[in-house]
Amino acid sequence: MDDMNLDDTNIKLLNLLQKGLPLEKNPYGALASQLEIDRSEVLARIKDLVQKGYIRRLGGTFNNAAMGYTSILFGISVPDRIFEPVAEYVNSFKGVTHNYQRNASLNMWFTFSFSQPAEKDLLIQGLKEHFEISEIFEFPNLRNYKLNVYFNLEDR
Amino acid sequence: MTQTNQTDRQDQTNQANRPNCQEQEQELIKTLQGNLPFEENPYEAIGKSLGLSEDEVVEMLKALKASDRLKRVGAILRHQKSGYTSNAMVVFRTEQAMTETVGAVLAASPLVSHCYERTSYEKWPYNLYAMFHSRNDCEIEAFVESVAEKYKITDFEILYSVRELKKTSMIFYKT
Repeated sequence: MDDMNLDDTNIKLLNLLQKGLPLEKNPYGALASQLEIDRSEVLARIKDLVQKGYIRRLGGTFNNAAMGYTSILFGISVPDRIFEPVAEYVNSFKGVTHNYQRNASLNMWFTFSFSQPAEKDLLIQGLKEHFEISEIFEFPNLRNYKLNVYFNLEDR
Repeated sequence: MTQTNQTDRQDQTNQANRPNCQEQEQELIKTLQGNLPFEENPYEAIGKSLGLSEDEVVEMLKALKASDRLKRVGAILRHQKSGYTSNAMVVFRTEQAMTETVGAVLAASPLVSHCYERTSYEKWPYNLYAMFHSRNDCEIEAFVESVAEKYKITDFEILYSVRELKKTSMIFYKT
């Protein structure tokens, strides 16, 4: 299934939902007037988009730093033969929110958010001691040029 | 409303004995980390589950937003599903004097969702990172190559995501 299955109203709805619901009473009522449909249809369409997998999650997005968390990008080099167990180990940490296999010498990239430095030390210690991984690079963010996870579905 | 002690607070369920503001806020944050209830009026439904009125929920949401802890209440898309099937992290090594210029150029591209300057190392000399999303690899490659040429960047790599191993949202309070 791809974006061709989305009608104009769903495309507009997805764009509005990505920008965020109004923090006012009756938020779907506000969307309904913008889309010129009933509030019940807003909900029905949302349910459908979640069920079909277009929406990964509809909820709150929080600012890690303001919540007292530090986020660091890690790039590590994992031998192919232990790639799966290492992925499983890394993913077992709650603070690991994103993890990707990439085609580079550093072939596993993940973001780790933690409130205590000891949590990060624990993860690194496991990589070194259980899996004998030596190439572990921390890439803290020094400056943010852009943070905008918004996919304009109308601009196609 | 009557004053409650710690024990009452832990197992209180009715509206007469409410937890304090901080606890209410944590409960709201926990709720928002999942999906909104599938109700025509989700804030009212959240309020019901937490023993709050819709007005109170809205006030708390506004306070979370004002303190910069809440970015938004909205949808996170599965972008592969929406046609953005080509996803790459592109890393560049730029001269210090050029970093800001190139960072701004990358940030201005609609193909780029995130762009950061990061710590570099001798073995990994890249200092500028951009996350690209497109409907095809060619579009990403053409743009990256044009930027590299224009700003005389010789060291860069396009790291396509071979596989998504995990993608979730942060859980702040353990349940």
